[in-house]
Amino acid sequence: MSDNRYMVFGFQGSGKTTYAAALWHLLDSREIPTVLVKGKHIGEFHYLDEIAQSWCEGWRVERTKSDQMEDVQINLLHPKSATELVLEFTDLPGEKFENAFSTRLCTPALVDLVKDASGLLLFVSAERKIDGVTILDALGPMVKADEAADAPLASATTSGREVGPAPDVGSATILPPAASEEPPWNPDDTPLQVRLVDLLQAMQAVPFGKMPFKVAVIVSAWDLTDEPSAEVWLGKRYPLLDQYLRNGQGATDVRIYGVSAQGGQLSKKGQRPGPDRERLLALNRASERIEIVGRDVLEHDLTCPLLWLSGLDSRA
Amino acid sequence: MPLCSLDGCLVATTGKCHLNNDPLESCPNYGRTNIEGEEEIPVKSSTDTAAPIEICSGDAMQLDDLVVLVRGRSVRTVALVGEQRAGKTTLLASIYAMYCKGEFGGYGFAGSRTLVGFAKRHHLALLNSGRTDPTTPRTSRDDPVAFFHLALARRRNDAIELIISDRSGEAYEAARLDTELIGNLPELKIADRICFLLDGAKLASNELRPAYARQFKQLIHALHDNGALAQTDHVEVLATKFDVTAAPGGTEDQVRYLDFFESQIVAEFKEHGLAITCHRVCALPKTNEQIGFHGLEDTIKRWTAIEPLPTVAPVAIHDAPRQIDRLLARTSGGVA
Repeated sequence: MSDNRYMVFGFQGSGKTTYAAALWHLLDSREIPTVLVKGKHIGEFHYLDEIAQSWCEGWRVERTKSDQMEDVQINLLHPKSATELVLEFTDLPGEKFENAFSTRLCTPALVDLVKDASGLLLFVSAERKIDGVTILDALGPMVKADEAADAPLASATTSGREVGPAPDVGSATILPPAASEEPPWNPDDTPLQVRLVDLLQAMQAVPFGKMPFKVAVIVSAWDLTDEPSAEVWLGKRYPLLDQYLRNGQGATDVRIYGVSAQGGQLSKKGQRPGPDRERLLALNRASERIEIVGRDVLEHDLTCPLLWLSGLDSRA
Repeated sequence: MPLCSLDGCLVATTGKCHLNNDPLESCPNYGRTNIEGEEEIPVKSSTDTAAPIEICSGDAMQLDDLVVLVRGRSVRTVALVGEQRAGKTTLLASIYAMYCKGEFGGYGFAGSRTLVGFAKRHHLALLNSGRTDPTTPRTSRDDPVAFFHLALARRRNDAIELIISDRSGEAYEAARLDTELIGNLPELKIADRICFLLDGAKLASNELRPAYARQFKQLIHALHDNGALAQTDHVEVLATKFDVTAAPGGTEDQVRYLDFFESQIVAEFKEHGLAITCHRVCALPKTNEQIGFHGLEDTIKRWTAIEPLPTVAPVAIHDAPRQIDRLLARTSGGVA
């Protein structure tokens, strides 16, 4: 028996819980062949069963208790090598990670989780809006020449507030700096990729002191993208994270997967059904709702990233 | 905090009732304390009660942090020197912003110990700041020198560690006017490269140009004459805000004056035994779309250029008594 404890890392809405729900159904139902199969049914499965139920019924899977860490443990078997392994991960609410970035504090439990992890499943969602757009990207150079220098160069700011008459100084006009109207930095407005890289780097430092490990990036809601591969998508949408994973010292090896764990657009239970619900419910084998793309994967097999993280693929 | 009034019951630590009641709530002693009248305190889960642990700040480093970081590492250190609003912080923020968009200057981003520090300096250039004109937060005169870290790599495990210092322009202005204060600028002592930022907007202003040009050179003289540039390998002048210098509404004179001033600096300091190179940059193109981000890529390439290895060949000894030394002198081109 080889113990592999993988940490699931991602912010709110990144698809962690949906992945866990779909994985549980895939393994437990045995509807389609997978590279890792379910091992012995020993353990506590309330949480998994609850979220898998919601997944099966065609509703958007949501965490029920947002302030708790849900321990997920699944016994797995790699039939090719007859190796048993335990997939253990803690489904942390995304807020735990987001708070760690903004407060620079984390719980001892999170520290232990990182220390014990032998690999990382890093979740980012294709559904999330782009948040690192600069003003110049969006609006272009709109400021007049005499407003350009970092010292205010105009007689009025963009808010219209007069800051005094502008002396004629030739082609440029310079005033003393006006009283600051700069809004303070809000950590929550920091682009997601910057926050993710910062926390991944923090894992290498005190108090975590994590040695580099394998990282499997899961791009969730893959059905919403039109990129040819998850690698291309990550390079375009999260270039800083992509560069860090390829060049940085935090990961020994990286693979990037595109995953649609729910198979389409669904809505929360109790709301009007999502546009893809009927189509997905009509499938005879619910596991076929799952789509995964990436290196060495089977079409619906969510265990492929886990197999790669475990290293069993190269030993088989 | 005991969860049970029964002496010897360890339910608070083991989660099991001493009297084997299941569920725990069915035990009459559970949830009561053995001290009468004591006010009950709501029980929190272990994750709530455990003291939170601090993680690395990710903010700009101070000198002490830098000393720890560079221990056992090979780093390139660049000191940005310039008076207020010359564009030091803008330059830093723009370099960070470039890597947020992808590989830049032939390098990929491999990490930064100061990502939070960079993010703080760049947030006013983001659309979600609510602004319509990008800017950079002003560095307070009360802030000590800050160091920013970037690991840049052409391939995995082959990173160049770049350290860039930033401090308020008032400190340099004060040191120019009172050279006793130059000793308070430790970043100059550890810098491999000192980069004087020449405010292109001030130089483009007919009113401000004469005094500013004089004061700019005065600052370099002040540092040079007091030995503050002696330890550094490279000294450069980086003219900022080139979009203002070459603004569509401006005149050719602005660019011509910059040409003239740069050549004047090079010649003037060459006479004083100081080699200076001059470069131009536009790190935040607000006025001239055609100029765009100008000179940033060259700046990164310059700052990360491979340094020639130091000469380690033995120096030839004149009239060496030993034959081996005379032989070495001949093979190394020396005179034995």
